[in-house]
Amino acid sequence: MVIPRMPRREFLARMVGAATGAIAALLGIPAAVFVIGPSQQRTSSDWVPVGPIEEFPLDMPKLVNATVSKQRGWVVEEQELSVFVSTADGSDFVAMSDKCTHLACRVRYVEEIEEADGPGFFCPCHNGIFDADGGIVGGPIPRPLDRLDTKVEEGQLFVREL
Amino acid sequence: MGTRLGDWVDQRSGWRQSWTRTFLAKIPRLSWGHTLGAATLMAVVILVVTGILLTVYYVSSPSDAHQSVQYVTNVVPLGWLIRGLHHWAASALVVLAIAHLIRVIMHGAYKYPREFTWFSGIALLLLVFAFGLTGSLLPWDQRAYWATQVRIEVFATVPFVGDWLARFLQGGEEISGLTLSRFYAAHVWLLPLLLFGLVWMHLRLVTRHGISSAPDEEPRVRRRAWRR
Ligand code: HEM
Ligand code: FES
Repeated sequence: MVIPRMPRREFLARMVGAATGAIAALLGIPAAVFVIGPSQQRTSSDWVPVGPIEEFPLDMPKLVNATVSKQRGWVVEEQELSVFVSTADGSDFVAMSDKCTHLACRVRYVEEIEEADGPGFFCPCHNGIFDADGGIVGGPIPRPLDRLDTKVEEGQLFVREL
Repeated sequence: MGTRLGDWVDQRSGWRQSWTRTFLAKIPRLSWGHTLGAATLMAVVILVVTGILLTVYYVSSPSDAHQSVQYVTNVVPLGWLIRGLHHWAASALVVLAIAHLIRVIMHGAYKYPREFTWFSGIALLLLVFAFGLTGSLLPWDQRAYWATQVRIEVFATVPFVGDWLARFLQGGEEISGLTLSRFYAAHVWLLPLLLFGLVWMHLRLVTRHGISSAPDEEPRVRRRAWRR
């Protein structure tokens, strides 16, 4: 067996270097974990009730408002949620955010829009037009209206942000 | 770095000379006591690193301070570790700095020509206490509040200027959000800047004079000749 020879001085210098590296890693890795912290967590939203199902008409979407409280860090913020709820049969529901997908103005429901050949949603800010399902019809809008999750429990409709 | 890159940088910075003078200097016989200054410095490094990290989440307003600290401790991954390291390194720093001071006294290392090293050391020790005073208010809990209350009462007993001093520290009549703000400003801005300057000076002086020989040590050459 060949035993490598190394001067004592060099050996010690290397040991000091290794110890320094170890300490740096011991401090640096937790530091990275700490700073990344909760920043990459997806926060799941809560279900919020928006009313008994029989209050939603079949022929046109209804705009409902609800307050969701969101915890961000140690601060709980209350946010207003405005949602268009439409239903064809009173048991299947579609919930759409009223925020325009262009630059977040509030859209409103219009019974007759020429471009949409019927009812739809109109955004007054830059003339964005969506059809009754929230699909793109015209204007600068990049994507259909955002949908929310829905569920019915004991006759109550609940929505949840996706 | 005996490499070409090392040469290239050396020609432009002279780092080899600084390295040799600082880390490869000839030193007298040392004891474990001589490592106390380096240990103190290590505590300072840990405090600076963990302190910078804590400011990522800490908010120095009376309505958020306490909760932001709780958030660090209970929610942020390894938050308990970073906060714990800052807390215990702060205590260790006081102990180590004083142990280092005692080593310096025992070896008579404060004497000519090292008076300025000693004075800068005293200034560092006062600075360490100022860090402790300002830092312990930041968690903004009962303990922080009442401990600070007591310390400010102590300052208030200083003859003539005590009252003025207490108000100056509090930023007003009593401990309030204003106190928290100014303690925070001192703890993360003023005191660290002073600390870096003084540590720099302290270490420059140490390398300039070299470590003092232990008082009982004969000059090296003579001792060797005598022993052989
Ligand atoms: C933040 C606090 C301090 C740090 C980081 C620090 C760091 C150091 C270091 C690394 C050395 C090299 C030699 C050794 O480790 O013994 C040293 C030497 C010295 N320190 Fe400090 N020190 C601090 C506080 C103090 C205090 C409180 C005093 C005394 C009032 C002091 C007085 C001295 C003296 C006189 C020397 C020269 C010793 C010699 O040549 O043998 N230092 N310091
Ligand atoms: S914000 Fe709605 S169209 Fe621009």
